[in-house]
Amino acid sequence: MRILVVEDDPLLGRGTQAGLEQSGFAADWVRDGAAADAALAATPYHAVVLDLGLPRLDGLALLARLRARRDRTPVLILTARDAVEDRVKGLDAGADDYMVKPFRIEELAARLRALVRRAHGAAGPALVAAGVTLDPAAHTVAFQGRSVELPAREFEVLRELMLNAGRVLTREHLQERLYRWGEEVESNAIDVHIHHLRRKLAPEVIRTIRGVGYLLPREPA
Amino acid sequence: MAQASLRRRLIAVILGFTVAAWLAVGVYAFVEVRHEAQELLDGHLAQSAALILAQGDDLEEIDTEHVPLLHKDMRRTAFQVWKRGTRLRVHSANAPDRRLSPVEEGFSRAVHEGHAWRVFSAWDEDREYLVQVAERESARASIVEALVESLLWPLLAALPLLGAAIWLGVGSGLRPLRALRAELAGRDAGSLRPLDPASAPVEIAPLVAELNRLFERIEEALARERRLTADAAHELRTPLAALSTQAQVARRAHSAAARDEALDGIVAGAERAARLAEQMLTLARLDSAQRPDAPERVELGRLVRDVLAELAPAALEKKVEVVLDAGDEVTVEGYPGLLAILARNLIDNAVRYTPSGGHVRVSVRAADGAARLVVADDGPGVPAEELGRLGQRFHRLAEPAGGEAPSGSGLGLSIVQRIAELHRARVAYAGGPGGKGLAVTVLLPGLAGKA
Repeated sequence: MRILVVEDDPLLGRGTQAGLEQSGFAADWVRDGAAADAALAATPYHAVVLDLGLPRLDGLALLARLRARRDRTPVLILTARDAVEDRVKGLDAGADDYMVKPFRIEELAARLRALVRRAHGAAGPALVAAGVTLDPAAHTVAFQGRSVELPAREFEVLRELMLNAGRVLTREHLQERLYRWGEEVESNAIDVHIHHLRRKLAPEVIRTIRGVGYLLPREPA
Repeated sequence: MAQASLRRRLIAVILGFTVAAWLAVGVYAFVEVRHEAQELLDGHLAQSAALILAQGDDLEEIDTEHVPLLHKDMRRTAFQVWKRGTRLRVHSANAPDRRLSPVEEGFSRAVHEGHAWRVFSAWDEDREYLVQVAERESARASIVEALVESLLWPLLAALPLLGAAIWLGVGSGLRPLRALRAELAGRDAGSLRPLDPASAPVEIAPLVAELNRLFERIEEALARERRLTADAAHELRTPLAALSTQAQVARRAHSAAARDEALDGIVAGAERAARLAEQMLTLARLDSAQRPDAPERVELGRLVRDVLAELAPAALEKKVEVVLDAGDEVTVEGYPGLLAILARNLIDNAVRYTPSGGHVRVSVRAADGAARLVVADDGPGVPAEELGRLGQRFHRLAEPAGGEAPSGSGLGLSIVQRIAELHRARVAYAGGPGGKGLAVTVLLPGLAGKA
């Protein structure tokens, strides 16, 4: 899952980014509201971790701008302001969750997973589609009752497909959702991941729509 | 200690004045009445003497034994008629056999049988008969006494009544004050809503208005304090969160390199937290400082040179060139420790915000009776609209586009500002030389002249 971290404090921003990477997220980090606005306009993120006191464009202003253009990307406010009024203001401005610094990376990761899950209309922690069960928190996958071991990237590709079960995802979409900026990506990386997934699960689990992309059907074929 | 009771003071003043005024009236009346009574009664005495003399030769026939006592007060008056001044012819029953007074003409005073008498003496035209008419002086005094008494008794009776009336009147007059007190006493510490000035009488309304203004100022101060506390909490939590996050990253790191990077982050974070704590402490101390001790003579040039020497290694490492321009000696009255903190903050800020290859120019000059300290850099500078917010607590600049922003506490310039206040100095922010960077000017009054 790809996360945008907006944090002006370099030490905290870098640490949050590293911590999320360790938790299996692809995290980008920007240091001010304007840069975050630009990043959000250009890239589809699964969720945003947003500090409030930001230079150039304040966190709440950024949030308002985001919601004004009907961008529903889940936003988790991560701030040192713990007053109830601040929380209320943040949530009312369109944030989906609110965490106060200092925080535990595990909790931040779990809350982000929950936000993304809810954003895709799933209530339970595990995603189920096409005979595949995927638990994002436990990082486990089972196909027709059989447990399957997957490396991180393949897991991410599968999760993205399952989150969007029944919809065609382009190669670019998958790429944007999987890799952060500056990462070296082979042009056929996604195809390779798909190839491996088909081998480990079953070929018919992921369908190729020629010239468009890939699709994971809701029901088993 | 509270002042004496308003009510008691009013009663004392009003009763005191009343008694004094009344006594004055009494004394005046006493003097006037005594004088008037004297004249009137003297007139009567003279008249009586004249009446007796008018009897002429008939005086011989008056039967002295038969002058009747017509009135009880007649005992207080007496008369004698002396033939040729030596033979007592006629006299009242209470008159002695001797002459009432040795004086033979006009008024005189004499004492008989322990009583003082006022005596009027007159000769008839032929100097055949001497008439002396007398009246007991005590009779006259009792008239005056009665009059003065009649004046004083009502006063004695009225005083307690007057006191009670004042007591009650002042009490009811003070009722709005008591209501005010009750309203204020019933409040908790946080309640600063204004009092209703319309409910107070004209004399108390200004007090209520002043109280309301005070409430307003306290409210503002409290809000400022709350904001500052919130800001401080924010500023303290952020480096702590960074520390905590980096520590978690270090623990979860898969590679030695990643762990080392996180550990470096922890060290940097701890240093920053310590610096922040230091600055917050400095500011807190400065906030409570009331111009601590007597100021000293400070040679500003040398002080700034010392600070620069201290900061130069860091600047060199960053490849920022630092130049000091301090020609003449400039001596001011001030606190050397605080001025060093001021200079250190300004120069440290300048070095921090100036990218590698930049310049920081520090100058100390005397100008118009003031010492002028200027710290200018050719770094990214501050947008004009932000200049006014410099020095606000916890206000931090946006990072320079592209550059790695320095991570200050947002307190450095607040500290500068506060130290400047303690020195009655002015701090001005402007663009640096050639419109590049930032120039901070501190104008310190109290130039002590060349040492």
